[in-house]
Amino acid sequence: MAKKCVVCDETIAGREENGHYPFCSSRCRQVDLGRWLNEEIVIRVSREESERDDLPTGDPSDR
Amino acid sequence: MAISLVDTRELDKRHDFAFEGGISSFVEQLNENKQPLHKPPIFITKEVDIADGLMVTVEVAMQWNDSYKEKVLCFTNNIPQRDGGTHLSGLKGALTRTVNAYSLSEGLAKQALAGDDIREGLTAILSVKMPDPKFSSQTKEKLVSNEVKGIVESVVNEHLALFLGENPSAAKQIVNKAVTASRAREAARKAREIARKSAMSTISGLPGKLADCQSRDPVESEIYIVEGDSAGGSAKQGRDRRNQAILPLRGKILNVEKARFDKMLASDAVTTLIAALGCGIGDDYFDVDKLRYHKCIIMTDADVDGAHIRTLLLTFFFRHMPQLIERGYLYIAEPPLYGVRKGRSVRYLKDDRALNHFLIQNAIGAVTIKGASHEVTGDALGDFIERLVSYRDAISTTSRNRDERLVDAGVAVGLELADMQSEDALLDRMNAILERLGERYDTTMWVAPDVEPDPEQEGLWRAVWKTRVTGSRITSVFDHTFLSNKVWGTLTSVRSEFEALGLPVVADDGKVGSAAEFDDPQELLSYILGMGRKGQNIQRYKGLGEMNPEQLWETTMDPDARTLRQVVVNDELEADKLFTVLMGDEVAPRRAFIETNALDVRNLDV
Repeated sequence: MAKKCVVCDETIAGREENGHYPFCSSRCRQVDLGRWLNEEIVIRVSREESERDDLPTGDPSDR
Repeated sequence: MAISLVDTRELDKRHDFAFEGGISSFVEQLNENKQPLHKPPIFITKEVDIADGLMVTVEVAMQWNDSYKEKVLCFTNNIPQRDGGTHLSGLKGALTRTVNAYSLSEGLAKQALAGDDIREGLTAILSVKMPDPKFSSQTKEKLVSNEVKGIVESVVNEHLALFLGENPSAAKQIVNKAVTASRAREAARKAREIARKSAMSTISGLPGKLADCQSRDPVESEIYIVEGDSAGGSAKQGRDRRNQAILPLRGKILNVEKARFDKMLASDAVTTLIAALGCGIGDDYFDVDKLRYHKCIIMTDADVDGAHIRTLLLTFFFRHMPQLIERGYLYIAEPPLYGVRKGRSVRYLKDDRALNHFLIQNAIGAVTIKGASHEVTGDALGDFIERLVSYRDAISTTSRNRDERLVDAGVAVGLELADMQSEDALLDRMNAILERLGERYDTTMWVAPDVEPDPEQEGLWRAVWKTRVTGSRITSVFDHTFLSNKVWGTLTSVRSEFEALGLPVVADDGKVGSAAEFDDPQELLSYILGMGRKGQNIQRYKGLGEMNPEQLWETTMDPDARTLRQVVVNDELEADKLFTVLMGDEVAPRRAFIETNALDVRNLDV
């Protein structure tokens, strides 16, 4: 599967040949870093999901 | 403009070069392999009378594309100027002024945008025709006629403002592109600043929240990146301050809608993290050799919230410090999920699997299992119980897209592939399931399924059940595909082992009145696990904060006792998911991702 730059969706080379991996360019790396610093990289959580305790948890005998 | 090349030696050999749309089609051609933000190019043409019939003609064609390159070609009287000049200054001035005026009046950008950012991805041709132009040199590579700047500027101002006003969606794209560009520049500036700060941080200026260790040798130094202040406090007290540093980080929550919210790392958490690690950030300022700790350990609660923070941190490291992962410096701590107290001793168990195993070992000494025809004893007993566990695991796998009560009943009544070949056989089997469900769950109203031709397998039948599980509707399909599945195979083979003992199966722990009869593998398992629990106090740690500093040290931070999972990129595909799934709007695929990620990292044991 061809990998794509997280920011601009351009196809990128693998980590061996690409110093900017997983981005296509220095510029896209910067854009992404800007998103982290601006609190734009988020996990969108539905309230229903957050109320359910469904990761490896739960008393195993009454699952 | 049109140029025709005709080879007169042979007939019919002729090439036509033409720009039918003039400079606009030239711009389109330059943008040919790129994605334009708007179509067609913006075209401006105007003749300006500068004095007594002295005319200056300004022609501009421009189109933004999604690349980052700026390409502006300038001509005066059809002669190209490689170094631009006054006409180019006029164009640049007009672009900066007009785009900013528009974006501010429409509220598209909070601050003024720089010219460089506005011109990112712009392809333009600027052509001026005028009498007696002045150039800086014989080669005419730069236009210096002063009056041209103002003329170009006012012509472009006027027409571009008109274009933006009349094409709001293109205008928005152009402004958004500039905003993104300006953000990249801003991030680069911040990165420089953080890198500079953290380079000095060996002396002072380390982030206040960091409880650093005494050692300055990265090889022996560790940093625990801990979710939450209270857990951070316990970790600070429990650590070996000689070589263990603690950095508490908190996730931030932003309400976006009634039904959902966004979870993220606070901006200062990101900068604090970068500063504490000391290796800088970005292409120019990152130096993995300056990393201050060769073990960077993510320690989060074993709940949904902790998984989110861990995912965010992992994503950040994958994207911006992949070298840490490649060199094996990134780890995930494994705090126990359970503490089992018996008398004075405490035993820590890392997850459900470990707890199950522990309970089973306890129960083996106490319980006997006897079917009508066989008794299970010795080593076979442990194996048999493990098989019951695999049955339950398989059932819970099916519960993702089926009602597990139906699956369990289907296995019990012996539903098999052959039943799919006739409507009558399948109907009989479904009635048997209905009967069993009615006996076991007598407060639920069970409605018969639809038995219908299988749309995927010609000549076969399938059953489709519609039921409710904890209030939500679920459609369970029993078809050839499901019954050919490995999970179904596990279920039926455990079920037949169970039945081979001879029903009912009697379990007994030797005490008077405690013997119980079972005709269902899951109920038997619950009974056995219950036996294993007797006499112990089992505590489930909901978060790191529930452990005191000594416990945290003993279980999770003591190098002689802890388990650390090293994060490695061994599966590019999984890494890809990590890169792309995070921002998605759809909750379901991302949840699946977090679950598989949890599994995936589990496979990275060292």
